[in-house]
Amino acid sequence: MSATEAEMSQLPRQDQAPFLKLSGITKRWGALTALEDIDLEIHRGEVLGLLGDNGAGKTTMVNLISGVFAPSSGTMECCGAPVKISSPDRAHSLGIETVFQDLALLPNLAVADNLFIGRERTFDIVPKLIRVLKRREMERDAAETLKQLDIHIPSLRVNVNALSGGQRQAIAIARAIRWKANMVILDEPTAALSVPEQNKVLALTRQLASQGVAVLYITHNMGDVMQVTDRIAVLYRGRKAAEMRTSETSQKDIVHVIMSGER
Amino acid sequence: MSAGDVGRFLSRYIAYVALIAVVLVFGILSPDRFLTVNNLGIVLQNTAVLCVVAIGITFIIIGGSIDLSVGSLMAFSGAVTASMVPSMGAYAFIIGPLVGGALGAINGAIFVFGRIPSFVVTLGMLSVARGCTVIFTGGAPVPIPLSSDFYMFGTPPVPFIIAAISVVIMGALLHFTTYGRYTLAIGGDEEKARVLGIPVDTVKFAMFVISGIFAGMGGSILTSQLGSGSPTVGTGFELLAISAVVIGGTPLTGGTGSIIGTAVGSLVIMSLANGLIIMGVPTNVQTVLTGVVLIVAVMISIRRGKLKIIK
Ligand SMILES: Nc1ncnc2c1ncn2[C@@H]1O[C@H](COP(=O)(O)OP(=O)(O)OP(=O)(O)O)[C@@H](O)[C@H]1O
Ligand SMILES: [Mg+2]
Repeated sequence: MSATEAEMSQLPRQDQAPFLKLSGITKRWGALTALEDIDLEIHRGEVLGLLGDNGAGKTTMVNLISGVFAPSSGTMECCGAPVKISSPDRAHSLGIETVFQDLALLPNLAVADNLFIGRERTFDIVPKLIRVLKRREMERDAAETLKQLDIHIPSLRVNVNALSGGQRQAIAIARAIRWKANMVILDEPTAALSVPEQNKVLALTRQLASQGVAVLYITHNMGDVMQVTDRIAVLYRGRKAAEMRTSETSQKDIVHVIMSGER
Repeated sequence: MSAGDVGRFLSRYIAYVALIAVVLVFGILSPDRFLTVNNLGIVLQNTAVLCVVAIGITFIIIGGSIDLSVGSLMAFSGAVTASMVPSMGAYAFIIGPLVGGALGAINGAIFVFGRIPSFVVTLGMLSVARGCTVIFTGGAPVPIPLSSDFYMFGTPPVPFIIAAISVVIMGALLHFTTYGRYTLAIGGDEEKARVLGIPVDTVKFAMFVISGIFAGMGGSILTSQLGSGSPTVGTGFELLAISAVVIGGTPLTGGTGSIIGTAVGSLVIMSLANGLIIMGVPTNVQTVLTGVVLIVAVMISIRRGKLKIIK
């Protein structure tokens, strides 16, 4: 985490600058335009709901911000400074953590391994080359994280493919928020959860925002939208159809924009 | 124990079960010749090269790829090693892993950066490296001096010790380092591994360099054992090595596996071959039986993977 903090402190600190600002972001797959000319700002301490029908481009947006692939055109600024989020590592170094819609868990690895994958605690015999895993330490930490989040898993050594859908979703969420993040992206985080577990995720989302994290929250559940978001951006067939404060709109209006692309 | 438990036990420890079965069968059929210290020493001696080469491929198979070129890499690096013995003596041993590693790097580069399936790349290399061996040797064995320090690498127990050290080091690499963890991750789901920030391309490239290094090391040992670098040595060796890996409990679908399993798998194949020779079974029948053992081992072990798709 020290890398993140060091890097963040080098970026200009304009208090009014949004954590992340997208300008003219476009993503094309051959002839298909998944996102077109999107402008969007996400501030620290707020929950921004990103809504839209199936195929509207929400997950594509998540992937662009998480460094999974690059935009076809457009620019991004982080805390007022231009950035290119060219890889998942780069996103991590900016403090951007993601719960992917498909969860991105490795089925053949244990729970503890999944929580640390790509960012293991190691004892380096040859730096960058031969890095010995500190397994005990990571398992202890993983147990601690799950306990804090009140997630119950029979054993941290069991492989993820032996867990239930809800347990997997919980692990994916735990992985994203265990690193001190500046921004957390949640792509339909409650899809597989029971009602009490959904409520836990909603509470957690508010808690993250109150800690000054910028949260991008994607869902199809209107109840969640009204309950957890501060602002809403609606995508319609790859374009931004509307942007509004949750307190100044109604569920009916939101659904109307999602369906028609018009206010 | 229910039938399911027995199945799970068998699939997990198939290599050990097979080893015990082979030793029991030949121990009963030919106790005075199979179960002698002398003969078991020969089995270990023969197992060493197979084990070393199969260890290298194990990482590739765990990562979900394949290397068909190891037999040819072995022959080429063994021949180059032989040619260097007159000038370098015992130090020529290092030539094998160097040449093998370089050819493995070519495999890896074409596979990763050329984005060509490993099956195709290494099938091509199987042919290219074999051809280069024949050109390099002029079709005749490359002799090494009658007396040279180099012979120590083929003299018992040195090959066995090299194999044992390789098992320990590479087993540790697989189980205790990020490299091993990333190899498993890539074999489990390569796209997700990439999304999670794992350096997928580097890890995949390194798998092929490692496999090349171990194939080359096998080539050096073999040259020392045979007393020359032969242009035809190691033909079909890739199938033996892959069999050793699979019998050892590493499924061809990747994502899981074990180095010690590979060592035991090598031992199974070589004890079987040795026992059949002792029993006077013709070579062609031996080849048939080795294939049968492989298929049976896969049939037993594939259940564990709970595979939904068979490719
Ligand atoms: N890797 C890809 N290659 C080609 N087209 C893609 C790719 N990823 C997404 N698309 C296309 O981009 C469009 C937007 O997809 P996206 O996954 O962003 O939708 P979404 O808003 O997340 O929908 P949902 O609510 O169903 O998750 C779709 O038409 C989809 O087919
Ligand atoms: Mg989506």
